[in-house]
Amino acid sequence: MPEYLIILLAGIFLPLFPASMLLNAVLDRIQYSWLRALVMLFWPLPGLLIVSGIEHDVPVWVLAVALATSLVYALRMLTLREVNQWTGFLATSLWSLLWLPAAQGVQPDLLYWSALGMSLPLVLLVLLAAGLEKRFGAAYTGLYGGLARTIPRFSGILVTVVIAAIATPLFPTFFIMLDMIVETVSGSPVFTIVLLLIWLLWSWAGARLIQGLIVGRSSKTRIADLEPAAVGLYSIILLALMIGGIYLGGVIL
Amino acid sequence: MLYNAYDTWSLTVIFNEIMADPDAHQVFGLPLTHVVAALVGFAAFARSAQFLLHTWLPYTMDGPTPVSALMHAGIVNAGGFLINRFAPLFIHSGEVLHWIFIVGLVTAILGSLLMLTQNDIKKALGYSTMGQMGFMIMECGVGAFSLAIYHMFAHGIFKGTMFLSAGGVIHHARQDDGVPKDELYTFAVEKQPAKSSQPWMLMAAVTLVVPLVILVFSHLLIAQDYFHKQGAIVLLFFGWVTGAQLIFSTYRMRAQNIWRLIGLSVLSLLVVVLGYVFISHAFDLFLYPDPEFRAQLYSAATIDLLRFDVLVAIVALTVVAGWLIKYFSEQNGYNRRQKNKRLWLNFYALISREFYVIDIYSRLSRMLLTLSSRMNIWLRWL
Repeated sequence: MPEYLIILLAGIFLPLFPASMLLNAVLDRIQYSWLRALVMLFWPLPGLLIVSGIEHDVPVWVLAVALATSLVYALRMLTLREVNQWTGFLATSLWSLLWLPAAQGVQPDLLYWSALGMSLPLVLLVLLAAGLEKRFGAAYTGLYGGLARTIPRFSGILVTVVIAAIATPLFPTFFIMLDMIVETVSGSPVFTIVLLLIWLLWSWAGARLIQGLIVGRSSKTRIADLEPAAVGLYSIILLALMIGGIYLGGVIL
Repeated sequence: MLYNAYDTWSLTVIFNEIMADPDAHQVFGLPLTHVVAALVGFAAFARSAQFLLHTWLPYTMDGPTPVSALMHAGIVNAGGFLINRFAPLFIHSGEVLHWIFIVGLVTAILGSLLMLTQNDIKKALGYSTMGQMGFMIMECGVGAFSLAIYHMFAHGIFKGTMFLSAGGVIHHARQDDGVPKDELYTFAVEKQPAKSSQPWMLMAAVTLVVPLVILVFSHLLIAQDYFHKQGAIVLLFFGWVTGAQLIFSTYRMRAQNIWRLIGLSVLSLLVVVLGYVFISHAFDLFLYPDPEFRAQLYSAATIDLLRFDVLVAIVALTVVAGWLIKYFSEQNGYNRRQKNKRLWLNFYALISREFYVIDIYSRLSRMLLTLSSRMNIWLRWL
């Protein structure tokens, strides 16, 4: 198969614009949150498998398109209010960046772990979005605020998961981003600047998402909070992510 | 960049290699030490709310006051710490230190100006922090690295206290009618004769002479050859300006016994300036025990003698001008001519709009959000 076709195929799973629209169309049509969570977990893996089969170096234009895709989706996240859409766009922005370590010849198993480290917080976010839909009928920012008062346990977990997803220390995505910056800063400083811009936009979008849900005037209607057992489970996963992040950081840096 | 150049994350190893050969590596055709020092300086500017990167500080006051106290006594000071941690880099990046000084100076002036025009007590404290951070960064810029750390501690303690007592001030303000009890008020409402103001000339002389005398003697006590070094003069000057500011503040207070006030002013000045000199010296010895390293830090920040003298003269003249303006304002009963009044109002409007920095940033943010929204519409949210 010609190399450009392989790249195009990989561009569906490690999203390259406009193939990235396919991923978001698929996520948009999935009705079940468990299925969406599974897609979130496994979508980038075929892409990594395909890329590892490319014999020559990944062309620079592909890396430029990957970075542009990530930047565009990070920018578009700023004005999204539907949590599932927001998660899908973040996934697109994150996974397209996997082209960089793949092109640098990072070992495949390390790439899989990196992809998993990026995807796990997104899976948690999908489950939390389902929790919001169950409680309020829609996972939508700005529609109902003040969750910190009405459902404090849920809010605490939601904020931590968003923080984990947008590459905050000590979660895996932070170390993956740090590694990308270390690798690009000497050879391609423009790439580094774009990476930093993407990181900044994620933080801004994350802050806007949290602002639209957690703070503000709260509803007086009584709403069921997360069960303590569920809080424990989420906390264990987040703690494992943190430990995994530190370990991954030690390996890749 | 440091990791790529030295293949280690250990700052100790990196600094040792830099000390051994500072120009071993180049980035973008510039010495690595210069580029990294500039980036560290930039990071410190953002963390310590230096001008143009300051807006996050006064606009994060919606949180609970203890959180503000913690933020202003802690997080915001990280800039000074960061520059200190990378001190061995700055030894070889004198030009960067000069830029740091300029940014700190601009921030100190503008932060203090903005503080004076705020009605919200927490926002005023926020801008006060910005001014103090400018002062701290400026100290780094003149090579007084350990002084910045002392400043960090001192500012942390006093600003934390001020935030925690801000609620008390608001409570007090709610109980008081808020009418300023100046001479006109006491004469017209309380039917009391106007109090005599402090002797202007005497206070001005105290401002100019006393701190200088104390500093000269205390520095002579520490080291005889201190005045041969530009860094020492810088320290002396910082002490002098701080002392002058203290007396200027005291002058604005009202007191029945003027000699008691002057005595207290001189005494508190003595404590401040002596503390300033000895504590800064102790911090210097503690943080940078190697005298050669300390000398290198000051040497990196050194500018040519003519420029240095001009700068010192400008600051001295500013202090004197402050006293003169105070004097003439009192003489004229704070009445300004029409032309000056308009100029003053325009200036006030500029400050009250916070130099339009917030407006520009808001406009830019809105533009980005509009672009984001339009892109989503064009691409059907996919």
